[in-house]
Order: sequence, then structure tokens, then C-alpha cells
Amino acid sequence: MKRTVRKPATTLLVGVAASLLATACGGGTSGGSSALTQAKCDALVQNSPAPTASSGAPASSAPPAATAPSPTTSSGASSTPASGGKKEITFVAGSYTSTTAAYWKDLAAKFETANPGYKVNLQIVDWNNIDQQVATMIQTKQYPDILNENKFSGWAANGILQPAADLVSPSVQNDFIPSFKNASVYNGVQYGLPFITSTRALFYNKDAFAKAQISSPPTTWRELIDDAKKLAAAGYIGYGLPLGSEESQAEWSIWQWGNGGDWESAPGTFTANSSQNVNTLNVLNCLTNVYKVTQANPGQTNRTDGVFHPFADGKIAMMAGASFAPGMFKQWKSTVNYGVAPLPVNGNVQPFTLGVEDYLMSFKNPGNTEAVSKFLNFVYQADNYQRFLTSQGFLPATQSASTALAGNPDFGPFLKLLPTARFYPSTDPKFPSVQGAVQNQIGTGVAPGADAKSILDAINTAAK
Amino acid sequence: MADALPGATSSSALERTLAPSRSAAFRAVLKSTPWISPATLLIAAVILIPIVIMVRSSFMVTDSSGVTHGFAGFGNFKTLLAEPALGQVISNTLTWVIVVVGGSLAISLGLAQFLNKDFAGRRFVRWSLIVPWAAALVMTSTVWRFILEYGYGILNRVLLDLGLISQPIGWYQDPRYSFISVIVVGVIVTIPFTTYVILAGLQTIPDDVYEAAKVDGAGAWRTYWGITFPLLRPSLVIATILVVVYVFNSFPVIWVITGGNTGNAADTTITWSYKIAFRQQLDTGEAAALSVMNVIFLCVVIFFYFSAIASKGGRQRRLTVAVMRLLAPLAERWGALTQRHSGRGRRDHTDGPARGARLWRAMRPYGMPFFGLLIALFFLGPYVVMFLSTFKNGTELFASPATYLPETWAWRNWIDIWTQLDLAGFIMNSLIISVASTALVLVVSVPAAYYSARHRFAGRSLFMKLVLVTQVIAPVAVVVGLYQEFVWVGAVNQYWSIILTNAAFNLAFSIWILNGQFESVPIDIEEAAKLDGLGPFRTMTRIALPLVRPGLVTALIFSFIQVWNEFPVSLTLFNNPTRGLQTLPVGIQQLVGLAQTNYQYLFVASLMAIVPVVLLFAVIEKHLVSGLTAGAVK
Repeated sequence: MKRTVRKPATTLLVGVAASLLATACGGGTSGGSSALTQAKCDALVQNSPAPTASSGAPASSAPPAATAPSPTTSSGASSTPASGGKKEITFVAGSYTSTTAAYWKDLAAKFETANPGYKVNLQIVDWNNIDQQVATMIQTKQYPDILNENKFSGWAANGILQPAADLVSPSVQNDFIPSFKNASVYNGVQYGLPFITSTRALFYNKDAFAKAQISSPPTTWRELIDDAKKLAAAGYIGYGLPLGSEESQAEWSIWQWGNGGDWESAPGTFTANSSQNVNTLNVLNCLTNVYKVTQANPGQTNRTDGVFHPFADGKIAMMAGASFAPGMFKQWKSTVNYGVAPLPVNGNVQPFTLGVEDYLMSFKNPGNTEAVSKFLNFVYQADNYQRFLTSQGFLPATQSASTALAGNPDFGPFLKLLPTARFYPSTDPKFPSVQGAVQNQIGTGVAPGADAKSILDAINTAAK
Repeated sequence: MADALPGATSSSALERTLAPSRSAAFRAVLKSTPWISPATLLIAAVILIPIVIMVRSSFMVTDSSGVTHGFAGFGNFKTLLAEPALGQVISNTLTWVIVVVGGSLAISLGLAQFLNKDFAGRRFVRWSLIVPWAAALVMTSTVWRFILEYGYGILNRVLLDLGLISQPIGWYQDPRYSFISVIVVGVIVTIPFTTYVILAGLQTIPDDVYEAAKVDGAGAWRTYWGITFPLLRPSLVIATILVVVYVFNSFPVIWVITGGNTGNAADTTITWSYKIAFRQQLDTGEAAALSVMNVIFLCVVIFFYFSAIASKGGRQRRLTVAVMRLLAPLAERWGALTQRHSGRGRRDHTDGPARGARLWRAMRPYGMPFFGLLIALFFLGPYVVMFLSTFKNGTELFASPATYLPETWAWRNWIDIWTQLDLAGFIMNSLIISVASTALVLVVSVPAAYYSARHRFAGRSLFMKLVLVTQVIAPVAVVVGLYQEFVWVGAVNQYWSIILTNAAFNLAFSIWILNGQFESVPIDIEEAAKLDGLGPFRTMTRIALPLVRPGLVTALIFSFIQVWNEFPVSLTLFNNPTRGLQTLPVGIQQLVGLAQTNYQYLFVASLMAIVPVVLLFAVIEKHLVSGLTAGAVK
């Protein structure tokens, strides 16, 4: 499942070598890269046309759902009553939207009605505080029975999670989309249950493109920069670049992969400071300070309020938007006329999308397996699961739900991207620290004169 | 007078003379037990145990998933000292403390002088200063963040309209401005408190002192530095020490405004330790190491400070004189200048035969209220922005440039909020917790303060130091330890435990204020009561307590506000939304969503939270002013 597709294609090498020379000469003391000039920036971006594969939308075929098994219909699918098991479980969940808490309250009530004697103690935590809350629980050994989070491997490595495969019925387990299931495995054992997913694509404002006389969305970085310049000349912010600490690991992944770089070369061997990545960070600095096609202060801009919202208002002309953005546009009553296209790449890099998944997992608390299993099966029941996805605006992690939602205009285009999805190395227990370092430091790389190499060196040491 | 913190310094000599034999000393301790043990127990349970846990975890290996893996030795401290950002954070912290404390004290000295004058609308100006003090820092910081924002922030709109800038500036986003921005906000939110303390000090200065100066023909400047300032010293001592601790430990201002920024351009050690624990390094051991060093640093600073001011007033006065002499030439010029232009109230009204005096006398009835109005508007400004924003819809809030007045008045925001979240429930919780905690603070601190003011017993100085330490601890630093302790005794998400916790953290201030007040009550009155056969407890309740009403009111207000606005501890220890267990400041955080912040509702809730506190303040402001001097004046 390690998607370490590192393709040092020859075309790329030329550019890399050239730029390496350029940056190496300018290097030295801090602020060495303040010498990023038009010429040096141009050298970092490939002139070669788009790779062959990028011409069309990535694989318009339906998800590889060979057999879409019928979802479980009864709540107690695995009804092997464990003796002396506890019937009261705690469920700690993140609050995705303002309706998340209401959804879970309703679902827990339904579950308790359908399963007399069982009780689910809900604890909904807002995402700003969930890491702190969960860390405190773990430190004090107050393990929740079920947890909804965006990481699992650290707890798996410490042996405090229970294997997840048997927690849900075989029909649910076989229904997970394989790539998401693979990203839920630590040391060969599945500890996470893929719960919600999202993908990314290039969002572009069609009216802005018309005004700037651009006929089609960019497929390469070169085109992206040229288009962004035209859009900037037409009075728009060419590209919205969110490198603020909220979610910058997502934007960084997209650019890093788009330039042939990666998080790791092998599980546990982090390559945050590889030469491709140094180049990538310099390109972002170029976008900001040399080409000046981004919004102000991209290093402190968060995704939703800083980029999605201005895009919805028609101010930002291009961005790497998420599959849940259209739902937000509706909520904001936006009238922006936009299109969705595959993410542009630099040179001969395979098209991809960033796939992000959040998990459900269960901690080892004596006697909780039966009740946990009962509740999880209930959650993944087709109607319950789909109601969560549609109400919260997330893509499914199961094949049956993908099929069911394929016709939904808000979900369809993004579901199509799933086969090309690449993931964070979230199965690596060291990744959270690296991610934390990226979230909190990568934004400093777009300050004028920032030293990309030393910033990425520092980030890479987080994987100690 | 130098004994600003009772017992912290001067009691040991007394103890020695008053403790003739060992058995007598033992008896004295035994006798003190019923009076001070509730306070001691509460402090030990809620503050000392978590400190021990914090120190312990600073020596343990804890991985990024939160699991502990044994003893680390000094590993966490070594990791911390090797952090590349350490130098920047330390320099930020020192800058933050020095500039915010110095800036707010300097401005407050002038402001208090002004507010001590009589002019039309003075009450309004004083009241306007109360609002930023009464508002929860989390909420005030949120509105400042909203004001300072690059695109939809109203500050940029104002500055652009005035032609002061040609491009919008990301006041908190741009690393060049972010730290300066939080410092300015820090000064503004600290000024109300320091002003009130100094104002309280000014009112204790008897008028006849000024009469004498007038007879001597002293000018305003000389009167101020020769009379007012030295007499203000005790109040300044209190203000400085409280503000240093408060500013050093200040979490919400920096966290809310720049906590989400990448890099460490605006981090102090407090916000950085949070980032180390939960954001970037995910290393609670290293964060604990930083917290330990914070506490040690603060303790050292404070004990130095106290020994400096306690080592006889003489040296201090010499220092004042030196400062004065240094400033004198400047002062002469300034004095001449202000006299010519008849400055705006900064000067003392007792000034002598100034040239422009007559002109000033003519302008005074208009100039003073006008200047006062400007001050009031400045301090109310952010809350006016808050108020107007409650009537904007979701789109207009993020409009760039910002609109001054709502284009379409969305009145419904004030109604919808009640269905958006369980506001009534939050207010109820906050009221229960605030009232109960405040009551507990008073019940526990009154006997402790009374006994330690009236008796010199072995352990008194230890007790007072213990109280002082609790003042130094940032709740944020011990919250993990506290949670751990609460889990052991099954106290998480319980009313009683959060009430105990809040009470413990507010005991110090209350004991301090009341101790000073009790000491100022002449002992002869009680001697008489004793002769009449009243026991010590009834002497306290019947005789002493009514005499310290200002101190009681002050302690009450303080505790209430602190608890009402408390955020970091409740966030962790009393936070079960599914069972409706959240306080107001924590509950409204739901409006800060992953997708976007619903500022309109957040601001409605914030304003509603301010109203009861401001009313409470307005009603008993008079008592407050006299009560604040309690610790200083005897």
C-alpha cells in the first residue's frame, strides 16, 4: 500500500539538475534563496507538454466494484453474545459540521432502541480540540471504545487498538474500497475501519477563464502558472494557495506529488527534504513572491475560510478544491460558475488525486468487543452510512455506497477520481509528527527569502 | 506598606519572636488548622498534585500517540533545548511580558490620573473600561482576530479609507506584523485592570497632601513625581506583580489570534508548549518540561521582585528619585509645553499659576468629556464591531472590504442562535459553576485570610508562599495532570469537580486581598469583642467581616469573572456536549467550525455573556475601587 511511485524521469532530471545548480549557488547562509528570480523559478517548472495520460479525466470507469455486496440489513449481524461483555460503550467522534452531533445523537438513540440494554455514550469533539482531547484520554488510559479520527497507526503500534477486520460483518468488510482498506493496515493487521473519504481536484472559475481568454484548464504546472498570470492580469487571484497550519499537509502533498516527490522512500524512511521537495517549495515561493499570482500571505491561509470561500465569492480563479467544497458553496449560496479538472502536474508525473480518509477504530477495553461490533455494524448499514455521507458531504469508503451515490452530482465527479488516489503514509506511526511539523512550518517556506532546504530539513528530523 | 503580599517576606521575624517554645508552636499550628486547612487542602488537591504529575511527565517518555514508555531522565529537557525555535520563543516571551506590562502600566498611569478627575461622563468612561475586562478573553481575542484580518477585517477598511495604507495588510497573518499585533491587543486588554488598580490607589491619597503641595507652589509635574507617584507605589506593586503573572501566562490572546499561524513568529513559551504537546511535536513530555521551566522562571522572578521591594522602602525611594532626576529636564520642557497648550487633563488640577490656566479652565468642561469620549470609544470599539457584526449575514461577514454597517440587517441571528446551539443550557451551566465557585472561594478564603492576618503561627509563611505559587501556575500548564487526577477519582465532567477546580485557582487572589483588609482593621475593636466573650469565629463574622466589605466585593467580582470566563480547564475537564455539560465559553466554540466560523452567532453569544458581568460590575464599581487597594494599604 506504500505508494512510493518515485519516477525520476529523465525530463524531470534535467529540470531538477538545472534548478539544483541554481539554488545551490544561491545557497549558503539563511536567506540564500532570496535570490529566487524569474529565471530560476522558470527553471523549476517543466516546459514539456502535459504527460500523455493527463489529457483525459482520470479513468472515468466506475469504482472497481466487481461485486457490490448487499449491505447488512440487521443490526446484530454478528450475534455471538460474548459472556460478561459490557453493554455500555463510549464513542468519541469529531464534529465535521454543525449537524454532526445531531446525526450521532439520533443514530445512537436508534441503536439503543433496536438493541435494548445497550448504551452508547457519545462524546462529540470539535476538530480544533480533538487531538488534545484524545491525547489526554490516551495518556490517562481512558481509552474510548470507539474513536473517529484521522489517524490510527500510533495507537496500533502501541498495541492498544483491537484488530478491526472482525469487528464488522464480512459483508461490510468486503465492501470497503481496497485502497482505503490498505491504508488502514499497520504491520499487516487492519486496525482502522475506513469511514469517510475525500478527493481533490482543480477547481477553476469558468467566468474568470473566459475573461482571461483561457480555453481549457491547465494540466501542467507551466500552464497553471501561465494561466494564473493571465488571470491575475484580469483582476483575479490566479491560484489560491492554503499553506496555513489547519490542513497544509494536504496542499503540500498535492504539490509534492505533482513534482515527483513523496513523503517517504520506504516505510519509515522519510524524504521530506528530497531535492524534488526543495524544488517544489521553491516553486510555491515563486508563485507567491516572483509570479505573485497567489492571495496575500499563503503561509497563513487556511483552506476553507482563506481559499474555498474567496473562490466561492469569485475572487480566486483556481484552487485545489476538495470533494466537500461544492456542499459548502451551496451553504454559502455561492453563484460561482466553476469547473472541475484533474490536478496539474510538473512534467512526466502520473495524474493523481489526494485521497484522504478518516477512520473508525476501537481500543482494547476488556469486554467491549461485542457491543462495539454491534454498533459498528449498525453505523455501516446502507441507509445509516449514506445518510451520514450526504448530510456531512463526504465521499464513501465502501463500494456499495459509491455505486449508490455515483449519480449524485456533488459526489459523482469526485468518486471517479478515487482509482488514482494517493494517500498520506498514515500507516506509519511516525507520520503524525512529520505531519505536525509540515502543518506548522511549511507555510514559512513561502516567506520572501525563505530557505526551503533548511525548513524541509527541520521537518524531516521530526521523524526521529 | 512594603508588605504588599502579606507574609511572603516579613513574617519570619515575627514568628521567631512569637514562637517561644516548640510545644507552643505546635499548639499554634494545631489551632490554626480549622482556619486554614480547607484552603490548604483545596490548593493541594487541585494545584499541587497536578504540578507533581506535570513534573513527573517531564521526566517520562511519551510518544506522539500519547502512550508513555518509561523514564526519560533529562531527555525531554535536552530535546527542548535543542529546538531550533527556542531562541525566538524565549525572546518573544520576554518582549511580550516587558512590552505588555510596561506599556499597559504606563498608559494606565495617565489614564487613571485622568479618570480620577471630575468631569461630565466620567462614569461612562469608567464603565467603558469595564467591558474589555469583563468580556472573556477568548471572545475579545476572537473579535480582534476578526478586526485584524487581511480581507474582511475592518481595520484595513478604516485605514484604507483614511488613506493611511494603500494595500491591505494581514495584521495577524503576515509574520512581519503578527507579533506586534498581538502585543498591541495584549496592551489594550490589560489596560482596564491596571487602570482600576491604580485608580484605587489614587483614591487612597488624602487631599491634604495636595493642599500642602499647592501652598509650596509645586507644579503639576513635581506634584506628580514628588507626591502622587510615591504614594501610588503600593498599588503599582500589586498591579505589576499581578499583571506580570497574568501576562506571562496569557494563553487566549496569542492562541486565538495567531495560534493557527505557521512558524513561531508570535509564540510565547505558553502557546509554544501547547503546540509542542498537541500540534507540532506531539510530545507531551517535552511540553511538560517547558511548563516546568516556565513555573521555575516565574517563581524566581517573583521572589526576586518581592525581596527587592521588601528590602526597605528607602532604596526604592532612591530609585524613584533617580528616575525623576533623569527625567527632570525632559519634564521641564514637557511641562512648559503642556502649560502653553493647556494639555488635556493629563496634568493635575492642582497645578499652580500656569499661563494657560485660565484658558484651560474655560475649555475644561468640554475638553475633558470630549477626551473621555474618545477613550471610551476606543475601548468599546471592538465590541461595537462585534455588535454590528451580529446583524450581518454569513456572506457579508466575509465581504472584502468589510462593511461598516450591515447592508441587510439580519435580525434573525439573535433568534436563530437559540436553536443553533443550546445557549440557555450553557448559560445555566456557567451560572451554576460561577456562583458555586465564587461562594466556595469566599467561604474558604475568609477564615484563612482572617487567621493569617491576626496570628503569627509556624507555617504561616509557608502557607502564604503556597498561595503565591497558585497564582503563578497557568491552568493550561497543569491541565493534563489535573485530568489524570480527575480520572482517578471519577471527577471528569462533574459539576463538583469543576467547581472545586475553579475555586482553587481563585483562592490566591481572594486570600491576598482579604488578608490585607483584615490587617487594616484595628485590633482594639476585636479586643473589646473578646472581652465581651465572643469566640474567635464570631469575632470574625460579627466584627471584622462587616468592616472588610470592599475586599469581599472585590474578591467576589474577581472570582466570578475569572470563573465565568475560564476556558482551557473547562475545555478538558467539563466538556460533554452530548449530555449538555459545557460552559458558555467552551460551548460557543462549536461555532468555530472546521469549515468556517459563524461569527454572527459567536458574537451574539459573546455579547450575551458580557451583559451580566458588566451589569454586576456597574452596580458595585464603587466598592471595587476601594477594595482593590486592600492588599496595599494598611
